[in-house]
Amino acid sequence: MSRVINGLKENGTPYFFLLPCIVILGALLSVPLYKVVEYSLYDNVIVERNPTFVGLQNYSNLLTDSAFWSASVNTLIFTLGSVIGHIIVGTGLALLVNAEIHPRAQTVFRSLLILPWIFTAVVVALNWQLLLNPFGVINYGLTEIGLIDTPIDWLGDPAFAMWALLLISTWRGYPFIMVSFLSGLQSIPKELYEAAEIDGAGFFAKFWHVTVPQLKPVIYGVALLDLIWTFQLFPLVWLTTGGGPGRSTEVLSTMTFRQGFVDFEFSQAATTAVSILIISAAFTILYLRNEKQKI
Amino acid sequence: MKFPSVMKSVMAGAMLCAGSASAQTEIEWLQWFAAENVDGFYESLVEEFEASHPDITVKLVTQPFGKVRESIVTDSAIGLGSDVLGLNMPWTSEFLEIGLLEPLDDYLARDDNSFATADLVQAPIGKIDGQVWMVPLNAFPFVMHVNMDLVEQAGFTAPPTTWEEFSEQATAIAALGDGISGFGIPLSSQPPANGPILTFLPLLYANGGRIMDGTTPNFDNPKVVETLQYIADLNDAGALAPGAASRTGGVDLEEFIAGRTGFLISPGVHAQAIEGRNADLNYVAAAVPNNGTKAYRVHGWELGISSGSDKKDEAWTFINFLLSKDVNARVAAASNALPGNLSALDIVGEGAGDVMQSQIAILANDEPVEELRQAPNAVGSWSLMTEEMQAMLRGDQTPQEAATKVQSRWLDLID
Amino acid sequence: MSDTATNHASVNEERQKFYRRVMVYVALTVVTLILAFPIIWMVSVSLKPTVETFSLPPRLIPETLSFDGYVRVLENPQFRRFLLNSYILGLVVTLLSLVIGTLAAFGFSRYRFFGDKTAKLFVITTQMVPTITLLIPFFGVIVWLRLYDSIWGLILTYLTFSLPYAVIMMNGYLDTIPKDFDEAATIDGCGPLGVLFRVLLPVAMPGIISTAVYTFLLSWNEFLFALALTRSIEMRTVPVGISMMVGEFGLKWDEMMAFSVIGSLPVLILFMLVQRFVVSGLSAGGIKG
Repeated sequence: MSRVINGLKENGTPYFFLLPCIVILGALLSVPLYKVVEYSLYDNVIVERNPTFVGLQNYSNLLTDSAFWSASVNTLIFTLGSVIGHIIVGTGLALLVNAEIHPRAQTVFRSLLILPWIFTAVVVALNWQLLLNPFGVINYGLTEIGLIDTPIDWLGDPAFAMWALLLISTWRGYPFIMVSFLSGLQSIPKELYEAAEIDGAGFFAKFWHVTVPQLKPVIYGVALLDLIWTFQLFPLVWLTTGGGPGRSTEVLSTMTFRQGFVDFEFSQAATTAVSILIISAAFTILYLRNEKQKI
Repeated sequence: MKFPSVMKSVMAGAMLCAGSASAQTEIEWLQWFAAENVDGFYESLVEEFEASHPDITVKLVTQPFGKVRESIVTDSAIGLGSDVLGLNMPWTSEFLEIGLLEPLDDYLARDDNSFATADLVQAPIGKIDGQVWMVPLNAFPFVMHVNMDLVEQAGFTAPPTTWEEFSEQATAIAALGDGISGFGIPLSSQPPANGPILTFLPLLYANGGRIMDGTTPNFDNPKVVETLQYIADLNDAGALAPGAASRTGGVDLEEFIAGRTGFLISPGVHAQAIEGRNADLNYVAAAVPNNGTKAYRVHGWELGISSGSDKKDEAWTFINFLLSKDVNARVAAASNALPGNLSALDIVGEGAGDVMQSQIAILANDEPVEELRQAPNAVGSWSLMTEEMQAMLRGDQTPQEAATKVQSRWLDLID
Repeated sequence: MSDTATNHASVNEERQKFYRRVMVYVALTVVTLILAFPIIWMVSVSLKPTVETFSLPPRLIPETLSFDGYVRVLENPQFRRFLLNSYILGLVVTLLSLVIGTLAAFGFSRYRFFGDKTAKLFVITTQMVPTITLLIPFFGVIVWLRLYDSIWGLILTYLTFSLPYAVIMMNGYLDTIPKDFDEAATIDGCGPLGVLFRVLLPVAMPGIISTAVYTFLLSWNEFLFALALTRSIEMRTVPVGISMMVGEFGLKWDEMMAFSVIGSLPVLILFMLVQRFVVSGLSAGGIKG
């Protein structure tokens, strides 16, 4: 008996650490996750009193729907564009704000730079609509300095809407990367930089040979989470463009919402949701495999 | 399918929670009205009801307007539907399909009602599937708000009454320059993306057109095409505010209030916001300019009873209270709307301002039209109208093509 | 001779350092002004009558300063309640996520065990389904647990979003700390928890702070579940309150922006305070390292 306890003590330790987390997630999410998969196999649920099992019919409907493919392309553009934007701006600012300046000034800049993050999505969306309006301050400014002749309807022109959305998404999302990297930078021992300086490394060499390798575990985690979230980001897109004009900014998450809560096709929505799950999961498994090699 | 059994256990749980109160019955009223009138009007109304009905308490469940339709469906799926529901006519056909609403015929036939059914605004109580599903709390006729300063600057003396005058004046006002437009069409895809029902439908009705044939969509008819053509022509003449495809209803209203558009087609209730935010605006309300037919689109806040409610009698008692002449008059006045119980019209009209008087005149003289109550997938359908009208104004398609596409996409949505 | 040479070199270096610092300040100021401009605009909207927000040309400085939006928001007891709810919710969720998430992250970071990859995959998988489709079944679970319309229902809900984040991020931060630290401490007689709390956490303090900021803002900004899982006006949060200002017949621009600004100010101050903590955490880690 005591041997069993000892054995559990020896090998069971990590399980104790994981237990609370897994219990909470498992208890609350396993049923809903299962339900979503189950919904996708019926003709319709929630609004249908007697749903009929249709197997994979919804999936074949989805795969033959051209709207799904165009939303997928938009999602790809939106996700990659946003994540690249987040990483470039976030990393740049993390380095800049980490430079040796007065600690008070550092605190002020850091705090001001996370501002885009602390407002709820509906306010962010409405505010950007004001800014990007044909008579808004951005068009006014661009016309005044002569960059454009006539105001551009940034959010209403299919040629610009996705770019405008990427701008907003980058603005909204960079603080997450900045804050995470900033914390990562704190834990890099100064000695490594000093050693590199003695070897005559310049700014970029230090960044590439010291900062990046040291930050790798953080970068991995942050990039993965950012990808997964941006992939299914909903409120910002829905509230800013609603997928429009036309369907030029329709992404998979807004398509899911449209199917579920605009058209009340809950099974079709579940099917789209599962497809998002499959794509994200495939990506994550690749990532975990990569992580294993790293260890 | 296991879903119903989950629902049953969930419902049982919910009942256990609810059943612990004393002899008092609590009914829930899901609505967005209290979010539109934040001055506590609805809270005090509920208190007044509770004082005269000591056995019933009413819980206000207030949601933002944009979420009420979803909440009604979500709550009922879980078995937590509120008893009294604030409704919007375009949701009717969807809710009936799900079986969310209780027919009200038996309640309306009662002798002890505080109102006469004949006095109610008629559009919401028209029968669908042989029964009545909702009653009107109040009514909003669509009107045209007119900036008289801009009309006069452009060289006219009175608001336009016909399409011809309207396009003439709108074009002349836009020609004043300085970022001033004749008229705005809010065609943003941003939810609720309902610009077409705000501006296009009132113009269509004033042209004698319809988008429904009974309960079947009939969007590609000549009257619709003619109305779309009229809008496209206004756009070509430069009369429309730029950026229609990103213009939200909110921006459309605010630009009118700021004196930047000559005309605004919207419900009469907007008078409150207009006068409240820009007292200097020289402004009147008029009937939407017509092309031969004096008809107006009517909209309002309706009330229904949830089919899943086990307190339907108490729910009706509360609705009965809200529709009684005196209470209903106050409800209408609080929102600057017409009363749902028209016997309260004289109370509302007494001492009311010009805008209210012109609404009462429209009500007396013109024909009311409401089609969305029987339109299948109404909410999805106006997103389609929005998208196709965006493409039309961009010059990517003709009005005829836009009408055809809306029709076929709408039918696809229904199947 | 050699002395003056090094002096020269150090003076040059000092000068270079000074110029570099000036450049950093200039760059930071410019970048911050650009990135904070939308927020500045928001504040400007909150301080002017709505009619001015839509007048032409757009003006940043209000012509008539109006505090109406602020007055109306502050006078309304409901809005104060929303603020209180959101702050409590944010703090509790942050605290719980940090404790539970860090423990799990420690397990993932420091142990290899049967099912570790699967467990990690499960934790991440829970974040892959669009939350809108989870809403209705999740709603059912919360009602079944009798947590509907209560702050605990929302706390548990937000934990399901924030825990995976806390686990993944803390795992990343713990991985950056060399294993030698643990071994040294274990030799000194520390158990696993001792290693975690006495050795790793002080070094990982900056990571903890950024995780805390994230989890706080997640529950601070969440809207969809806050709306669906509560019903009483006393249980509503700030995002729900803000969305109620988007009405059927127009929008209360000044009030909405004023409420956002008022609500976010304490968050900003909190963040500033916590920032100093990051610096102290750094020096503590430095000593240990």
